[in-house]
Amino acid sequence: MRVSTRPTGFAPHLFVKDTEAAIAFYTKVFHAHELWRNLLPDGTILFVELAIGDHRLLISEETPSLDALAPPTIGGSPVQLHVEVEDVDKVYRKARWAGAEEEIPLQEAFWGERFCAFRDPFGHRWAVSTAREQLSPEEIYGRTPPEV
Amino acid sequence: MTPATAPPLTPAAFQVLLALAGGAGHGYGVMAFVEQTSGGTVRLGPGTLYRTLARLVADGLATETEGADPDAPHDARRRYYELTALGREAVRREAELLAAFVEAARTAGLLGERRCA
Repeated sequence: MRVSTRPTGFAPHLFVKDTEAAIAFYTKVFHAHELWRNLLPDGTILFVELAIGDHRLLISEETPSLDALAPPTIGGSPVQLHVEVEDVDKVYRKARWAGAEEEIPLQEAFWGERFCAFRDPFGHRWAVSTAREQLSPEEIYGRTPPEV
Repeated sequence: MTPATAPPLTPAAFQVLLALAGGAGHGYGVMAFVEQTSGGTVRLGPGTLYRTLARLVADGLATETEGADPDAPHDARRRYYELTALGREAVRREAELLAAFVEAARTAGLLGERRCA
């Protein structure tokens, strides 16, 4: 019987300089819940698995020998993680108070969401949104500005 | 009780809550219930079981019952769980929603004769 190669799960794995601080930030801002952590016998954290909503987020401490480098080391992050929430204003406020840096201010976006983007204290980038309207792709094309 | 804006349950969360509603309080019992009820089609692995139960406990839909050792290994199979009132309400609502869709499936001729014991 052929085994399917269709993915059954998908999770970002973030490298940070301060694992405990990162767990505290994601717990406070995104209601993340620590499921478990994998430790070496000497207490070093190999990785931590968090639940964010119904999804998984993995966090590891920066480990150069494994090429697991944190954003400050490599000059930033080319990835933006999108999170949908019920109240983007509340989440954004919590993030800012916890040390996040604004990238895109809160706004009613043309694609039908209230939306913002920020860089967390560990250099990882997030876009957070609350759905306003359910728009079809055609409706969104009609509203896309001519340039950014 | 359950907020109107509560998100739908994932299939695994629904199956685990259903197992608890039916009386299986033990992790192994939950796995057995899901496998038997689905005729072997759905098997919850220990990792999925652990994550699902941890999320349900964090969201207030289930609790670990007495005797749980917080320092014990993360093996949900060996622990005991029960529904909270919120969990019971959530699984009841989800079951009603599924029943409505199943009825539509029956009307569309997708379901064969009802299998009886």
